[in-house]
Amino acid sequence: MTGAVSTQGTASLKKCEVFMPESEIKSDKKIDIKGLVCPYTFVKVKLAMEEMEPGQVIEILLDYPEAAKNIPKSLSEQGQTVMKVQELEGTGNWIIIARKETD
Amino acid sequence: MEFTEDQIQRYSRHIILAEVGGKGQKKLLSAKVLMVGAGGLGCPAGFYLAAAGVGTIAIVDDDRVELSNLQRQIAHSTKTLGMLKADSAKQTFESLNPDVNVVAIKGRLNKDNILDIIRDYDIVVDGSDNFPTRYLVNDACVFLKKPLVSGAILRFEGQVTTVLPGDGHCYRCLFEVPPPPGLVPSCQEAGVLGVLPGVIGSLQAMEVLKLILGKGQPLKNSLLIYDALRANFRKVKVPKNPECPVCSEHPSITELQDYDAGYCQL
Ligand SMILES: [Zn+2]
Repeated sequence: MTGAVSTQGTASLKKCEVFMPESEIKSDKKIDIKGLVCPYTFVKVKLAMEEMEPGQVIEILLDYPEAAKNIPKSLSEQGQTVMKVQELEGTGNWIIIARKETD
Repeated sequence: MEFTEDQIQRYSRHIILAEVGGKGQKKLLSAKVLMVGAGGLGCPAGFYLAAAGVGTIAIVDDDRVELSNLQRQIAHSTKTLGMLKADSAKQTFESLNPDVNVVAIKGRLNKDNILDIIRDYDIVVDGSDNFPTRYLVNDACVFLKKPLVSGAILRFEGQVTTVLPGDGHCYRCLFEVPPPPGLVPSCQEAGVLGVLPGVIGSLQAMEVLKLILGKGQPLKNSLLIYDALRANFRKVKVPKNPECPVCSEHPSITELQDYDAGYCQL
């Protein structure tokens, strides 16, 4: 029993780090890339983030499911922090929130 | 400058690279590169530079397109036979990428005009087919402190090196003076497998992009040698020669010189 509680605790802590409640994240820039497919999705994200300062946060609205996987992966590979990836139930849209760490 | 939607699509594979991005692409678009020769090396080098969106590409060449060129000089075509190579290449590169301004310089470099011609450019690409031009270009680049990406080919072997004056070796550190004309293969001997200049010219274009972007390690103080038959690349160190006649502290060559002709035109 104790073991089960402990596992649950760890899981929810981990969840907290990756998926912060929306109200806690303030974005400095929002972009809408609905209708775009890869690689233009990431191209637009990258161009938008180049205009930002390190530490600033971007909110990305998209509807291409592949990109919801690929954009966070590419952002992490290029040294940025992905703070949130969420499907907006019933809309077919996704939101990605990321913080710029490096140019 | 802001990218157009067409540019975002055209350069998307550049922009998504961490090492390039929109900022790097803008550097490419504002770069000015001068190419010596629109032959075997200049065609593929210029082709890729144009595709990459290098904004200004000058081509110096006074030859006309001949049928025997088309086995390797891919910027020209059966339709441009007889046309000046500088014009033929300009037409090809500008139709590949309208973002690129190609300046066709229909003439030959000599000691009196070279400094004025290369002065306005950021990087020089030597794809010349003869030793007099090769040494003239090297010396002029050293005098003006212009980065130079030099390529050479013969039969199945090619070489590339990048000269960064003040920072690394120069062509004369490697080979102090041109070989005597008699030692250079005669025209009948000087065959070349058509793909070879494609490999070497593409390596030159890669060096140019790296210099513009400020990424990676250029072929400074080194010579890359490609042996096509053995499918082998070898990189040899070329230390800066402290006694180099042109780039050392006390150079013996302080002005440009024209060597005699008498060399084979590859
Ligand atoms: Zn030298």
